[in-house]
Amino acid sequence: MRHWSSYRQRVVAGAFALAAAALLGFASLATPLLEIFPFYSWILFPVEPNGKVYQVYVERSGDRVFDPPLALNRAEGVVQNARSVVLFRVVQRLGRACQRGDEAGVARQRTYLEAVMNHGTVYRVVSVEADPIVLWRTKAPAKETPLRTFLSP
Amino acid sequence: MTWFARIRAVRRCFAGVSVPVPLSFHRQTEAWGNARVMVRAFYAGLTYLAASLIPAWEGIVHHVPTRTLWPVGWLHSEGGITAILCLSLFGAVAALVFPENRWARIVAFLGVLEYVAYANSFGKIGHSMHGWVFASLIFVFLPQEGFLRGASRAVRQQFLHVVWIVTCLLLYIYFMAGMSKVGGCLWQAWNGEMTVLNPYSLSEQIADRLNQTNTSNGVAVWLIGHHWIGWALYLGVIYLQIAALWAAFRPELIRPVGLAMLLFHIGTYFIFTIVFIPMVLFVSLFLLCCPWAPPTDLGWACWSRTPGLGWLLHRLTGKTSRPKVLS
Repeated sequence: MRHWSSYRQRVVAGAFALAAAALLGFASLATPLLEIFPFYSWILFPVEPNGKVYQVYVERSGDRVFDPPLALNRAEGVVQNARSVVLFRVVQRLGRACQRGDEAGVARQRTYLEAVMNHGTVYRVVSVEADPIVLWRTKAPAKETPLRTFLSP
Repeated sequence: MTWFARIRAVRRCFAGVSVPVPLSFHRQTEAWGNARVMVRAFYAGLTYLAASLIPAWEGIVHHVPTRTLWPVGWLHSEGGITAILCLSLFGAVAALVFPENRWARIVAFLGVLEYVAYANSFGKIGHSMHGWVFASLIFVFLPQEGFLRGASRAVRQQFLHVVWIVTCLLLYIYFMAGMSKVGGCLWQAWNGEMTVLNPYSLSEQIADRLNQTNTSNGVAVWLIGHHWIGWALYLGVIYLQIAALWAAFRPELIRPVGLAMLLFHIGTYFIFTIVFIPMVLFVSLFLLCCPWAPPTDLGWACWSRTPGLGWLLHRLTGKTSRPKVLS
């Protein structure tokens, strides 16, 4: 009987633990990283891309000047792991922080971004509007709005 | 009504119509035996994942993160990274050799938690290893007597229930991934934006990903050009992700859902270049090697038990809604 009682306790505790993990996952949506590691909401690719993204253009890296400026995901050899989706996410958060005027957020995302750049890199954060399929075909955004320019210390 | 009875009622609600299982005691013993092997196989997988990092250790130890996640808040030096790598490897080995010892399972959990927290302290949190972290934590609560040959029926059931919790959590992850797309669709429809119901939805997602990573591949380009096929696949995946939760309560669905999710992860690599290799192993273990799943049947036994679609099939064919007797 003791073992069956223990089984029932495990069933109840397990159900509560699963519910708590789900609730913590939802609560984590209110945090900057959208996650209280390792609790996550599991909201993955929930929306269709609306054609509004942020991009970083490298204008200068050391003695090298780029004219026209080099898109971050094409800047292989200038930044580490230029095509990484990790950097893409950092750029999106940096762009949003720039647009909102969230200086703490800007500082946090710059730390991540500048860790993969050479010292003295000048880069510009730009808001880009383009239909993804058109952008993929033409590589030319419909509209670009410069937000801020930074110097990697 | 006790909490146990309430939970059992929820389980019955998800399970739907069921029939008595013949030789249930024998089946429980068989499932428990399979589960014991599966727990060991889980730690073998964890060991493999940790050992596969060894060639990269020399490079990894030089990457000290600037802003760490809370489990590695103490980490400020290369020595600390070496300690984490050693803990993740030897913790997994200890649990593989001594799975019956709780201390070994605790060390394995700490090792994988620390490594995954370290690896995700560089600006973006990836999710391919989260399942392994949670499973390691849940396995700490496996009953000690459950590893003994003469374990009582109640202990065997406790053991199986702990493994079921991991399976349920895995299926919940897919369920939420599917439900969030439904929620996103409603939200975008409300705002007059393009939704997943647009035939170009997958093409847009693929093009967006290719733009992000400045990459290209043949399968992705082909699917952008054949948007109707991509759309059908996309809607099918969303349905299967939502249906995944029901598989936790309907054993006939576990392996078909496991196969679908395995193909989904392989597909997302070829289309989006999203590498989810640890999840491929995790799904293979917990869904395709599920200790209590009946033999794989991708026919009527599977489709008639799917939520929504199963009901529709019963209405259309007039066949009985009672599932096939488990043998």
